[in-house]
Formats: sequence, structure tokens, C-alpha cells
Amino acid sequence: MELDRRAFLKSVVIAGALEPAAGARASVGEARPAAADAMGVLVDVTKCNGCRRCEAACRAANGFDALSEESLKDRSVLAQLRQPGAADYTVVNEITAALPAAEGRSVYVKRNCLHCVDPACVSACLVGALRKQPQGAVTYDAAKCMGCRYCMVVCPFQMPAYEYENVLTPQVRKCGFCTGQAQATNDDAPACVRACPKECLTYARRSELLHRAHTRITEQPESYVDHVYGEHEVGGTSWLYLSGVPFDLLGFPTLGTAAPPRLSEAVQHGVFSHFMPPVAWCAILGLTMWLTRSDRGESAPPESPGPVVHDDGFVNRLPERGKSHEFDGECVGASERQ
Amino acid sequence: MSSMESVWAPRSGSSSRHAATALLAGLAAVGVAAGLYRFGLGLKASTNLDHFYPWGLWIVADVSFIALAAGGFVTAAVVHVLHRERYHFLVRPALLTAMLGYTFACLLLAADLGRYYNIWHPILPHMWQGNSALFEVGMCVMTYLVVLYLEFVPIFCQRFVSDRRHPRLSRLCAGVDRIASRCMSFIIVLGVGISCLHQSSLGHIFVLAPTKLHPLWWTPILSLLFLLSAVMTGLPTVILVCLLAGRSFRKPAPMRALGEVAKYLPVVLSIYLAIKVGDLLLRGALVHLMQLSLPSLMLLVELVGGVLGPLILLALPRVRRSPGWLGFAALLVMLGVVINRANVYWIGFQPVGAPHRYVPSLAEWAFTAGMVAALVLLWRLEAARFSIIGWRSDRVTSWLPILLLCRSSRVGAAVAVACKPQRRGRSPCALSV
Ligand code: SF4
Ligand code: SF4
Repeated sequence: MELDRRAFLKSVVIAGALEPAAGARASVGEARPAAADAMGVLVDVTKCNGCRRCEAACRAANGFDALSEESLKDRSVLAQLRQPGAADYTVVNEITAALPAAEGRSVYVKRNCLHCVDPACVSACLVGALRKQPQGAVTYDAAKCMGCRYCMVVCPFQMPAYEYENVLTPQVRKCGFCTGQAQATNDDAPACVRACPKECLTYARRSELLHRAHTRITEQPESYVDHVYGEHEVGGTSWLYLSGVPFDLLGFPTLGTAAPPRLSEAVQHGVFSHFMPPVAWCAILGLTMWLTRSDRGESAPPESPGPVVHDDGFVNRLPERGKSHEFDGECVGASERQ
Repeated sequence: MSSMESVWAPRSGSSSRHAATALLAGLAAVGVAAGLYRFGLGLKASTNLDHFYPWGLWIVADVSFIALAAGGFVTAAVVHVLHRERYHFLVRPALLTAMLGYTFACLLLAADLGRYYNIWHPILPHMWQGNSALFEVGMCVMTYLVVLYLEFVPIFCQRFVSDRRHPRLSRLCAGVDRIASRCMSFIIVLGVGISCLHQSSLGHIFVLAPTKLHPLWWTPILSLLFLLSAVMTGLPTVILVCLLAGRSFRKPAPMRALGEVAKYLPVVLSIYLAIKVGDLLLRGALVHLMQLSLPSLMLLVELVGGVLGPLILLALPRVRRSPGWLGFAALLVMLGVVINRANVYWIGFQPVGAPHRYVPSLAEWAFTAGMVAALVLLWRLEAARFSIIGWRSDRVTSWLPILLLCRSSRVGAAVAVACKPQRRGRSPCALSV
């Protein structure tokens, strides 16, 4: 009896000690990057004419199939609403139908991962394959990825794409903000920004971009709606948009200002705060188990071979050779108590 | 008890049972073929998953398997933590169900992962990402799988412990059994603890996608709802499993004890219902129920058919006394939870700008159905090999054969066999799974 009690207490202690392994580091919140210091891109939708040079430059920079001059001239592709995919990190869409008739012309919108300030995809990735870099980029490490696609589920903009057709080594594909190409080109602006002939894209510190954006809105209130998309959406994004028409008409989702990871991580870290709640829970379970135990039925297992009656009343006998196992276990104790 | 149960099909002459076995085996074979297809040709060829719907039927089946396997930890809590030893006969069927449920959930998950060979990555400390609900799920499911297999060790050992022809094996098993029983209380507490954690985390996964999950389901307390619904479906699953196993092995499950267990279910069901409806009211999400749409319809099916219906049924003593009705009510609860998981992970998932809805492909259905069939077959195989079914049947008064998979043409014989005087074991049920 004494032994049992000791074994029991020990088990509770070990349960408490091991439990953290299940959610280790859960209580260590990752520091959010300082948004003001990080780089970003301001996209002035009003200046874009849909030449798709950014698409071509992106493909070249990332080693995808190149876009030829002819295909750039073929503007029919603009008409379909495309989503960045596994082989094109950025696409330009032409929006016509959704606009009010008075607008009279098309609007071209470049779409790619917005490199959220507090990205849901990074919070989601269970192996840290997606990371928020201090300079703003959200990068992907295929070697860590297990292909669960949780990042795709949570991205509010549906930006990560997946190589479903790749049988063995599929990757999550999304814009990586041209990280790692700065040294090669001596200019750390992303390839698309450098390729844009219309100065539609501006690469600078996010804080400065916000300042510039608001200045443009104040200076030309007739050209812009008073909204910098990405300033507050889902806690802010590194890519910011200025437009002459309301953003929902351009297919931008209407999102709240809270970063989704704040709520979900607050709940999770609440549940795991310093592993106290899980440990306490196991301790309560263990204590209940110990306090309500009955001292009956703690007989030692019989040492002799032969039909063995086990602790729990199962009777085991030798199955005869050549026959399939016979049903011979029965828990007498269970019904006897009723 | 001299019924010579063969493993696959007991007794000659019960052709309907042969047919059921053949059907399940056929399904399992098709499932294996679909699995080979997926691993051979990739996700694109085998599934209808796309850019907007990265999760599909396999993930739904995954989380459903895990929810239905909750019986393992619920019975462990009832019998071992709260010491309601009257219900000890539930523990082993529940354990086997949970063990197979989690094993098959892992199989389905492996099929769904693009890089299944990296499935173990969450173990590596330098990849730990404690902010992710999925990380928590991954760690807990892996640990719990080990816990379940450890809990099975005594059952496994007991089969060989009295084997006089292999004294070494017998001694080894006795030793292992002794060690296992020493640690069992720790293992059980750990199992119950981490089950609560990951069952809730499975819901918490979607708290991170507030803009993509339909407001009828998205709520910050999704984790609480998932935990409660797992608890609520745990016992009904075990009840149905016992009823079916009793039928299949011609050893009818003890209705008196099952009815007693079922008495608690209306309480759990109403707590869940109250919290779910209260949450809808507080968030003002009930307006979405008024619009007639697929999500609102599915929510009604989930709540009325899967919670309210069985709640009313199980509150009636007549239902709890009849195996057929009890089985039916239990099945309703199970289906309700499966529909709930499907609603959250599939129907309620609404990405902006998706050109069309996701509908599972043939291979996805085939693989899922095949895995379910394989699970049922394996359950029966192991139940025949090991001492899983340990109850003594009481007299069966009525049996309405509603929606039951295994039909037997010899109920009378089964009852007669079951009611025969039993051999007496001497010790009552103690702490051992
Ligand atoms: S836009 Fe999507 S993929 Fe890009 S950082 Fe934000 S959440 Fe991640
Ligand atoms: S698919 Fe890869 S990158 Fe995305 S969440 Fe899963 S492991 Fe992380």
C-alpha cells in the first residue's frame, strides 16, 4: 500500500515535470519586430499601367520561367483575376467591372504577400519554417517545412501557394521580399521595385512610407481615397497601398485592425503560462485519483503459471494450438459490484 | 464460453457477417490503393485541394478520428481517476478504439502532409514554435500515441504471460507487465492531461483565422467547445463500440451499466449546447442563422440532430434500456461531432475570392472510407486476439436493430451463451487498464 502511494505521488511529480515538453516554449512569446525600423513598399495603384515588368523581374529574380516581351505585350492575361501562385510570386490584375461607371478606366493592382508586421502565417507554422525577419521580410525555409499548409489556412490574403503537383518535395511558395539578393545587386530594393518604370512602387522604411502616403493623400485628395491599406489592417503590413477607388472594389478584403496572432497567442499562452495550468491540471487529476482510490483490489498478481487472474479480473488461459484465440477473458468484478 | 470465434468471420453460416467483413475488407483494399495513388502521384493527382482550400476531407477525418477517440481518456478519467470501477469493462474497448483512432489519424495526416517524411520535425528543439496551436497538437498527439500504446502493454503481455510453452516469453511478459503496472497511474494521468490539451487545441487552430472561418463557428472559445464536444462524444463512441462488439462477438454488452453511463450524457450535452448557443448569442452571430445558407443549415443539422436530438433521446429511460435506441442515440452524438468538425474545417472555411467551393475527390473519399473500414476490421481482429471484451452480459430484453453494422442471425443463441453461469475470477477490477 505504502509503495503504491509513493509510486503514485512520484507519478504526479513526473507528470508535472514532463508535461511542459508537450508545449515547450509556448510561454515564450516571440518579440514582434519593430514596425518602424522595418522596410516596406508603397504601391500607388493610381500610377500602375499594367505593364507587368514587375512580374517579369520577379520571375527572373526567383528563377521561374521567364516572361518574354511578347507575352508582356499580350494584355489579355490581365483580364482574369489571378492569384500569386507557386511559379509567380506576384501578379498584376486589371480591375474594370467592379468599378463605378464614372471611373471610366481600369485599375491595375499588383498582388503579392504583404509581409504582415505581425504575420498569422509565422504564428501558425509549427516548425518555424516561416520567419519574420527584422528588416520586414517574411521568409520561408523549405528544409523545416512539413507541408501541413496551416500557413495557407490562416493567411488573411491567401498569399502562400503550394506546389501540389510536386510529388516528393512540395514547397510553400510566396514572395520572400527578395531577401538575400541585396549583396548580389548592391541595392536591397526588391526586383519588382527596381523594374517598375512608372514609379508606382517605392521601397523605404515603413514609417517613412506611411508619412509619404499620407502626404500624397493630403496634397491630392481628389486622386486618392483617404485610406492607406495595410497601415492598420491585421496589425499592419509591410506593403502599403494607395488607391483612387475604395479598396473593397479592388478585391482587397475588409479586415479589422487586430493582428490575429495577438488573440490566439494570448489564449494559448494563457493556457500554458509557465506551464502552470497544465501541471496544475495533472496534479488535480492525480490528487483526485489518489484521494478517491479504494484499497480493495490491490492484490499482488499470482506468481504461479497457469490460468492467470489479473488485477482487473481478466482470466487468461492458454489458447489451444491450431485454434484461433478463444474468448476467455471476463471481468467478473465489473458486474459483481452492481 | 466455447464459441470458437475465428478472427475474421465467426461461425459458419452467418452469411450477413461474412458479407459485412467482405465489404469492409473491400473498402480497406480500395483505401490502400488510394493511399498508394496519393504517395505515388502526389497531392495534385489525388486530391481536390487548391490554393484557397489547403485543407480537405483528410483533415476533417483526422480531427474527427481524434474526437471520436476521446473515449479513451474519458473512460480512463471516469474509471481510474474517479474510480468508478463498475464501468471498468468500458476501459479496454475504449483504449483499443482510441489507440486505433489515433494511429489512423496519424496515417491520414501523413497522407495529407506534403512532406510527410518531416512529420517528426516538431520534436526537434530548434524548430519548436510554441506560438502555434498546431505545434501543441503535434507534440501532444505524438505523446498521447505513445501513452496509448503503453496503456496497451499490460493487455499485450497478459496474453503471453501464461504461455507455458514459451517460458522465456512468459517470464519476459510478466516482467514487462509488472513494470508497466507500476507506471500505470502516471501514464493514465499524463494521458488524460494531454488529451484535454490537444483536444482543445484542435479548435484553437482556427482562432488564428478569424476572417476566414464563418462567424457561426469562429469564436475565441473554440478551444473550449472542441474540448467539450470531444468529452461529449467520448462515452457515446465507447457505448456504440461496446454494443457492436457485443453483437459481433455474441456477448451482448451489459445494458444496465451502459444505461447508467448514458444517464450522464444529457448533462454533458446540455452544457455544450448551452455554451454553444450562449456564444452565438453573445457574439450576435445568430443573425447568420436566419439567412438560409449552407453554413446555417449545417449548423442546424449539427446542433439539432447531433446535440439536441440525442439529448432528448438519452433523457428517456426507455431509450437507455434498449440497445438499439441507445446505439442510435450514441451514433447521433458521434455524427454530430463529426459534422461539427466538418463544419469548422470545411463548410465554414470561407477564403475570400475562392472561385469555387472545395469538394473532395474520389481518391480522398476512397482513402478515408478505406481507413475507417480498416480501423473497424483491425478493432475486431485485436478484440479477438486480446482480452478486450471483459463484460458479463446481463439479460437483454429488447433489441431494435437500428443502423447496426454487424447483424447476427442467432441472437437467441448469443443470449443463451451470454447468460450461462460464469466462471468466477477472484479479484475485483483494480488499477490496470
Ligand atoms: S500576407 Fe499572408 S503570407 Fe504574407 S506575411 Fe501576411 S500572413 Fe504571411
Ligand atoms: S506548410 Fe510548411 S511553412 Fe506552412 S505552416 Fe506548415 S510547416 Fe510551416
